[in-house]
Amino acid sequence: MSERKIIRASNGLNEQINCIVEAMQLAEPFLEPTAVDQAANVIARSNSRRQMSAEHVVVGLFGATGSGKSTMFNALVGQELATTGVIRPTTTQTVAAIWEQDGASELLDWLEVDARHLMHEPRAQNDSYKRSFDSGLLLLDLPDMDSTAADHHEISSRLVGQVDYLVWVLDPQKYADASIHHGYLSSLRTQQGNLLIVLNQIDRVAEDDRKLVIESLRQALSLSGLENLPILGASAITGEGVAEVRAKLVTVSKNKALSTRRLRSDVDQVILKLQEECVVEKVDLPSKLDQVELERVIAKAHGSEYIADAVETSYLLRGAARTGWPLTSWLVRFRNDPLKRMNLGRQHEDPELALTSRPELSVAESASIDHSINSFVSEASDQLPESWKEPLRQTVNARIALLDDGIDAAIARTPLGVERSSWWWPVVKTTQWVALLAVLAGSLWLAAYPVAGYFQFELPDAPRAEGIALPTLMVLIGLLLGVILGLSCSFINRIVAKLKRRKALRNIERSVSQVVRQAIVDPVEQHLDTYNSYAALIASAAKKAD
Amino acid sequence: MESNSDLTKHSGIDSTAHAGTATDTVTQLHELHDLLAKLSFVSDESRFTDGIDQLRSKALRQISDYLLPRIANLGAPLLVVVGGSTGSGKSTLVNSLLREQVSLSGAVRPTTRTPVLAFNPADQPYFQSDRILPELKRLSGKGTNSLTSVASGKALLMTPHERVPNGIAILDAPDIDSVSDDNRALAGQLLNAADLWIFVTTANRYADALPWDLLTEAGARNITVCVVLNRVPAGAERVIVPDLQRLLSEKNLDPSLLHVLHEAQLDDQKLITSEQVQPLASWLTALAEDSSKRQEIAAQTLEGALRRTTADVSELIAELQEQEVQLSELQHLIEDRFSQATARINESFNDGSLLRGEILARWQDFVGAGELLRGMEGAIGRVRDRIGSFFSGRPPVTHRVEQAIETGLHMVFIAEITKACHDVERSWKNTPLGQALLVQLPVSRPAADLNEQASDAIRLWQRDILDMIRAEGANKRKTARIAAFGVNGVAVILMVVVFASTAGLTGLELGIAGGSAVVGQKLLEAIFGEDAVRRMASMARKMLDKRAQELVSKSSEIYTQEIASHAQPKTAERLSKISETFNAKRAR
Repeated sequence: MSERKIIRASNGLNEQINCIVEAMQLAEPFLEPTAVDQAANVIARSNSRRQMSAEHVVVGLFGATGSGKSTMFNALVGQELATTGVIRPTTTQTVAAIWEQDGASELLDWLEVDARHLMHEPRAQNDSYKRSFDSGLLLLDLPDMDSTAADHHEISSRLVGQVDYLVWVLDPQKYADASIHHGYLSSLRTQQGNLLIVLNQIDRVAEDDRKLVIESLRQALSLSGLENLPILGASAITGEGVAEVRAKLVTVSKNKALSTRRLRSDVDQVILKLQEECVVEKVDLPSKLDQVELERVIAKAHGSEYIADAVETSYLLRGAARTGWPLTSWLVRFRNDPLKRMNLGRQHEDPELALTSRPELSVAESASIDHSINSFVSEASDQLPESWKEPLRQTVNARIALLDDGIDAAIARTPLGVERSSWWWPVVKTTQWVALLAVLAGSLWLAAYPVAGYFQFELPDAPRAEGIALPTLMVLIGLLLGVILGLSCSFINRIVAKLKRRKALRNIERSVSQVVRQAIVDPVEQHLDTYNSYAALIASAAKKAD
Repeated sequence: MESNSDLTKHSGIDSTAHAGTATDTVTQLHELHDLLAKLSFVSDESRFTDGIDQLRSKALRQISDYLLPRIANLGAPLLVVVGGSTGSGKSTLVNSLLREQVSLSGAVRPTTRTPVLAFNPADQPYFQSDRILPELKRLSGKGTNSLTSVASGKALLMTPHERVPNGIAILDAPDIDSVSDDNRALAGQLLNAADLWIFVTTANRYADALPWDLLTEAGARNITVCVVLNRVPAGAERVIVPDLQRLLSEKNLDPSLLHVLHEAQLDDQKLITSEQVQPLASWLTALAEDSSKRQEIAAQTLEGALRRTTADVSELIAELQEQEVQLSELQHLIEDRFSQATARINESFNDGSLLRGEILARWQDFVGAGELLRGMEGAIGRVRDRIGSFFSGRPPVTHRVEQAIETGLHMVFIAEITKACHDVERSWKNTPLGQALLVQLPVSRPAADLNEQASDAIRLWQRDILDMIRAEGANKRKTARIAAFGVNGVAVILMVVVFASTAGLTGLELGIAGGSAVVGQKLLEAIFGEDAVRRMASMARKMLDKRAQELVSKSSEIYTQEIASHAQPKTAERLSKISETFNAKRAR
């Protein structure tokens, strides 16, 4: 095994773990606690294994009671280390055989194995070097996983997660037991590279039947999702096939990347599970159309149309007062300015403190706001996994309460375009007054003739233009000017008022939409972004999986 | 065959009393069977309904497979079921007892998939009918031929055989612990139908956890179990047998019924040598000849089976009641939330808050801009309205008030009902049962046509009001006055009066809305008289409440119907009654 390959495998594992950790930090509040716990367990386990000796390869013999794990163990190490017997279950605690002491003891502590035997195998006598175990092997003989002793099952299920390489010792009687296949093997689907099946006690099967039995075992394994597993037939008692098992373990014990590979497949499993729970890889952000619709509904419920109407009316009233015929325009003052009633359309000294005095929202209007926000959030979170939906709803609900005040303040700050009067009003006003003065002067002038006649004064004839006396002309023109000016101004005012209305509506909608964006749309998008980056992390981690 | 009177003589039960209670028990068992068959449980993740369903079918089968036939005839041949782990040699043992290959044996696990029933040809009538194990199809065919073709289907291979002693039948069951789920289920069913177990295990297997679960249950039910320890290696007997005997007596099983078969080569017929199986064979023959002993065993097993079934049924009842309780909790959640919705809708009518905003503005248009007076001008006014609205493109002012009221009501209905639906679903999601039920609900909740439903409700209410005004203004003088506003105009005024009459408007609003509503009220009073207006307003209000109530309850039906489809209070009641009588009988 080349050093480079080990380093590469280890780096890949690092990247995957970093991905998961980052993803978990992002998404922890939104995931099922069990999934988080499982991921944390695997990461903690792989971290602690990686701190241990990387020179050792831990191989465990798993299997049912009576399948001959201990006998196989003894046959493999060549000494009677483990107790064998006919009383079931025989082995009650894990026994370990080690060939190299350095670093092994903390590893064994971590595995919680007390019975340890240091082997001094004579190396390479007659046998070739290949036949003897590498010093890094750490062979474990485990208790059974199917007897009436429940504490044995616990040891088995714990060590299934901890050893680097699993050897399952089966026997012709028990190879199809549900407790083995459903209880263990089917959950080791991702560990295929680290699994070896040994069919022990093969001597008890007649020569003719062996092929059939192994074929049927292969079938049972493929039902659990384990295909192409190496299956070795052996008999620990007669010694048949033990050499092959030994040879396999020799290769295994030389593969120092095995522990990393094992950890990687654990991590892969976690990633695959997380990926399964990510229903979609990328959720779409709420469409612009939905957002505009939401803002429109909220603005409308907050009376944007009335305010705009009021702007129109207010402008008309002010315009009429400022440009109307002075003799009648004072009447306008008796009418209420609707904007003033709402405390709008004034310039505020401190815009931050501005508040409107519009009436409270009616039930129908608050209902329509709630409803539109609800549908917006439902629409946006439609694709999310179930566990991600509720937190978003809570976040948004918390924001809804603040929405009304925010919008009110925003509306109060919105320039409505009626704070200042139009530039041409004074001009018109002056002209109106001039015209009125002309009428007045002309009338006085005209009135002066009969008065002077009464008192027998002689007044020079009024100069004439085009045959009409000047004062008469003044009165006529003045009156005509006033009326025409009044009428045309009111016509222009109407047009301008419409424009002002439209502009005010747009301004209000813009400031409402700012508040809505901040309070509702942004948190929603942020949540969806979080999900997307989480899903992307998981997906990229999954891509690195084998 | 033996006579019926012979049956009860030895079983220690008074024959007449037994006959009476027996028919009683049989009818009750039949009813119990029917009730259990109809029972349904909502499957959810947490309650492990697989287990409950298994328990239910186990109880059902126990009744039809064993209890009913055994109570009907205590003297019928004993059914001896040979059960045990896969690869323990059940089939080989049966074959060896009969000295013939009747059941396929082999090295590939699991071997036996179709159970083989061997009996004396004289006992044929007992087994050929569906007296016992009615669910299993009877297959005939000697030996091992064509077994693979029927494969794992639920069937029973009938094998009449001279070597089976008269009075017992031997059934070779599938294994209890292989990867084949069908095998395990069938083995359980067969063992439950047995009078006597021959439980085969091996030196390798005798401490497996799974078989001991079954043996513990057998011990609790007081079933006679003959354990055969197969494949004992030479010399191991001395150590294993005491260990196994200790385990057996711990579980209340008779250790003296232990038979040991040594690991040995099979003879050329693939059978265990006759010397080895001799003790077991002669024990069986002796049992077959001793009819009193047989009945004693049958009665003992029957008693245990009855007890077990009663316990199983009690457990099922407990589960059912638990489900009923949970369902009624969910039902409460619905009722609470939707009545809250109704209350909130009512409240919004009450406190006049509906009158704020749009409706208020439109009403002010109606009253303030002189539209009211214009309306009074009658026909001319209306013509001018039409012309005006034709040119301005806006509907007449009465319509606008009406529309404002409609959209207001509509919005309140929709929002409250949608919110109630969401809340109910969120609270359902907190319970596993609720989650399971949610999956079965129709996809769109609230109903897709809620919008139309709400509009319909409002339209119906408006029609109610119009009808009421027409009926109220039936006399000529009033008709003339109503004509001045148009029926619609009066209806609009009445609607506003309805919302304003209990109005809790404050400050400025009261001056505006309340004040203008007073104008409306005065107008109405001028037409109908003071009492009539008060009566009409409260009637209109009641009508609205009724429509709202209908709409809300229609929306909650989606949920209540789902619950109603799962609630089975009558079954629960009847079941507990039957189980009580069984318990009382046992106590006696």
